[in-house]
Amino acid sequence: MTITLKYFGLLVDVCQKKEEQFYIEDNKVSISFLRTKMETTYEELKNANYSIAVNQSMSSLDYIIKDQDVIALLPPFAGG
Amino acid sequence: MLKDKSKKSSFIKGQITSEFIGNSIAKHQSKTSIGAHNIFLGQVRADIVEGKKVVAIEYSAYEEMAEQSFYEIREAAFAKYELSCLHIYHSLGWVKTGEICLFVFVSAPRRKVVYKALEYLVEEIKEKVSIFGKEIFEDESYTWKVNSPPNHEGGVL
Repeated sequence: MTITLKYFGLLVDVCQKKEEQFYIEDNKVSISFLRTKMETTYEELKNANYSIAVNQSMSSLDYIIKDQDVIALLPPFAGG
Repeated sequence: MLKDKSKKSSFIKGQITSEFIGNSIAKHQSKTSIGAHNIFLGQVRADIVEGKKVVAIEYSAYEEMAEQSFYEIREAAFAKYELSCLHIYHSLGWVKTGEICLFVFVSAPRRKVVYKALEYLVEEIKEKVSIFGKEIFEDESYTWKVNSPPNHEGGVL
């Protein structure tokens, strides 16, 4: 399955991009697993503080990712 | 003249001008059931970070998610307080120090409710809306801004 990953704020600097497509072979991948995988790809992510939204809603770590999900990595908010 | 509330964007490119704020106030003169307005203006502060002075903040957002959050915050405020209307505007892009980046405007028939509603709205916006700020220094280097949690009693962390 294919998912879209979006990066914001500080994480654009860390990952050097705003968006990318990820192909996942496994069918049962949790957010928690994806996170570990991402932190192997982008080592600096380990030191970053961020939360994860799936399809524009905050997600729990045990959510099982579906095909075409849009997953956003969000650093701390700074509005106002 | 009625507009679809959910489709109205809360984002404004660049600073929120005093002209825009003035016009927003003027537009309420025809709504004569209103007896009290309350306004919050967020201004970009020239913070000193590690000896360097902030000259501007460049705001970015996960816009679709942020608009949804603004909508939910608005709906929650209407459910919680007896308001006639409320408006939220936030800047995107460059806002220089001293300029306004957040404008929250609440109106109600009577005054008591507008104090509470405004504080509720501003705290919710700071905590829940996916907006990011790059603090730019005089030498063009930058750092990423993080909102400090409210520290009054009952504040969340």
